[in-house]
Amino acid sequence: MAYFNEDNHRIAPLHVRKHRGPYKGSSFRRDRQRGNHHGGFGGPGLLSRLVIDRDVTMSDSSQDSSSQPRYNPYGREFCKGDGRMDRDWRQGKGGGGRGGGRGAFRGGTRSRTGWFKITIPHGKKYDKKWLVPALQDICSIPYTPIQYHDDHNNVHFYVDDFTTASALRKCSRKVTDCDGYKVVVHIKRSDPPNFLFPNLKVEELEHLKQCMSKRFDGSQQALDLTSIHTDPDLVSQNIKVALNRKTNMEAVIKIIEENIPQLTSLNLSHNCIQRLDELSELVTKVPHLKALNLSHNDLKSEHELDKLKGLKLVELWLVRNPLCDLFKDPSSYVSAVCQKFPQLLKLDGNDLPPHIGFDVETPTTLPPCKGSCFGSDDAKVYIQRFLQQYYSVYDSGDRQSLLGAYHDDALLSLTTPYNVQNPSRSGLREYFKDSRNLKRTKDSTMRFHLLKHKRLNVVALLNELPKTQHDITSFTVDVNAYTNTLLSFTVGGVFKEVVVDDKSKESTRAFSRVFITVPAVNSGLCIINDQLFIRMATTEQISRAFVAPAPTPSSSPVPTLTAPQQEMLSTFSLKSGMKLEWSLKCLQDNEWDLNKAAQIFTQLKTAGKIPDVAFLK
Amino acid sequence: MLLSKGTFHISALWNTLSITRLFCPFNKRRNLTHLYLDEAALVSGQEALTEFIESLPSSKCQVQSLDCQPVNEQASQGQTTLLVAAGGNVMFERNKSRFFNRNFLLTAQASPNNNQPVWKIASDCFRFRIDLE
Repeated sequence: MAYFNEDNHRIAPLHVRKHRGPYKGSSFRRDRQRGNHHGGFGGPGLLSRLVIDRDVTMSDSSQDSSSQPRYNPYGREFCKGDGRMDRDWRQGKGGGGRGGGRGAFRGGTRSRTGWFKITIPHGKKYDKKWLVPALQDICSIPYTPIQYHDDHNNVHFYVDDFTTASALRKCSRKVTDCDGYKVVVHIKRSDPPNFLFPNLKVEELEHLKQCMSKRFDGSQQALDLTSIHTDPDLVSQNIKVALNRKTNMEAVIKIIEENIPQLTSLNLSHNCIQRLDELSELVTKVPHLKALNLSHNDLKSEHELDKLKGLKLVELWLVRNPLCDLFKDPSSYVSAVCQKFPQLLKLDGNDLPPHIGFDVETPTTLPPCKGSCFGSDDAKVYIQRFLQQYYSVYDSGDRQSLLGAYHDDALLSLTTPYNVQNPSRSGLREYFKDSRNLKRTKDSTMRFHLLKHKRLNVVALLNELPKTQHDITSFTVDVNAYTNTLLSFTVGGVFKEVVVDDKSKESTRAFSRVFITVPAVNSGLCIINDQLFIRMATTEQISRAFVAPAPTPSSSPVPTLTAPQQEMLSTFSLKSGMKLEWSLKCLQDNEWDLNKAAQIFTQLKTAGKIPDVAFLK
Repeated sequence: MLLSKGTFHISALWNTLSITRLFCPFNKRRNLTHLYLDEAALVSGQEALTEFIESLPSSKCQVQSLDCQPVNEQASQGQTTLLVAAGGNVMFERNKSRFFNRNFLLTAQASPNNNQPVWKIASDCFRFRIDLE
């Protein structure tokens, strides 16, 4: 409403019902009414009233440092415009009377006086002297077409506020020309017509430069351009500089770039700045800028600040800009600004909480990769041997003979991660029913059931699992604990599920298995706890696995036997009746001393310590 | 046996107060350094262990599976022992999620502070896959 009244007020002196004749007379009269301008269309009088008066307090010397408050980010009261306007308004002078019906005003940007470009299609054919009054007759608001010109066949001119433009739009198709066509009027928001902003002349630029250098503090690398248009040096020379004009702003930035590019602090407050398009150049031209004061300006939206992205601002002033009003509360305002300038430490004079980043000191590299960790050599020997034997049976297609590897009281459980993203396609379906995952299975009976106890149950479960082929070369072994009574180790690697029939597919899996073993006969290991984790292998694992030809289940593991050893093995196997693997073990245990091995074998057999599975059927 | 590329192993003896703390991300580990015992299998000594763990980048673990078994007395010589096996995803700073497997051997030991015994980690084995760059 305040806008409206203010606009209205400004219109009121324009509203020259008495002088409604041909427009070219009225401007003079209007100016005379004002009494303090030279008059003349487009001359300084109109110029100053239309542009400068509204936006910039020029003739009054009142320095605006403690000016009429423009925008309070946290309050609703505002008085827009320069002092003179406000005074008059408050005193009720001028036409405050027009009520609400003037179009959809909001207390926001739309009701701001802004320039509109009026277009009359095919208007070139009309005589200006006919067209303008013809429209004026219909138009409820007196208007002054500014920069009336034609462009191809169309006529354009500018008016400087929404009410006028809107009124003109209503005149569309109301006037009929002598050919019988209706005159169409289009309106469109636009930048101010550029004739109003002539580039500063060279001498003027020089004065501007002098003025700026006076305002520059070398010790602080700070430039204070507050309210530059009121600077006495410029005013006295009649140089009109307004930083809300593109050309002027560009000129200023150029002067900064050429003379003080290492500037760190810039004050642009009280300059009616609406847009920051030109200031975006600061990012590259004044890269060291750390403090920027844009308070008491006309920035309408936080998106204007995006144009300054890249400036590593530490301090920013934005108070008394329309954009501040748009935030519901102070914290969303602060938050939005901080997002654009993450290094900001001070906003509107208030310290901000420090930006919380990541602890840069933490190392980002992982320690070097290591392979198996056996901890000790003899553990290594036990384990290697164990694994070779175990997996040769495991992969053989019949896991029954693994009974001998397990303790009576052994425990086994299997875990397969549930693929949340793709449960049906995880391909681990065969394992799901036996998978024991305490995160998913809450029922205690189920939990109990899934933990296989006693070696018969253990092996029964193992027999149900798909036939496999393990790549022993891919194994890593880590010893968890090694005491007199316990050797626990974790084995990780990959295996293939072998195609058995039409139903099965060859898939590669990755596994991690924890064995807890106790000493067994013949320096063997007896499994007392077995925890098996199976997941899908990664593509990398698949490509690297099975590179070397995997040992076939029946072939003997890694140590290649010499010819005499092989012969000894077959002899021993024949004589003892034990399977090759078991015969091999016995021979290895006894340093390939056939007699000694035979002796030990006999002893153990008599004592009943050799499990049935060791024997050939 | 050939090395499985791209994994590392840490095995140590250290104290802990509860199982949930086992899955705290490495960047919180500094809180636990005082809990380390002297003996360590791979990295020996509390300082070396601390140093090793502190040299690891910070991480975040997401546990997807968890299983545990009681360890037979014969193995543990009467000391109540638990095997805990966990699997899931771990993410180090570079925003890459990797599979990990971790297992612990926990033993109950009398605590000087409490009347009740507390679990202590006798072994911690952590392996995860790194894709080769």
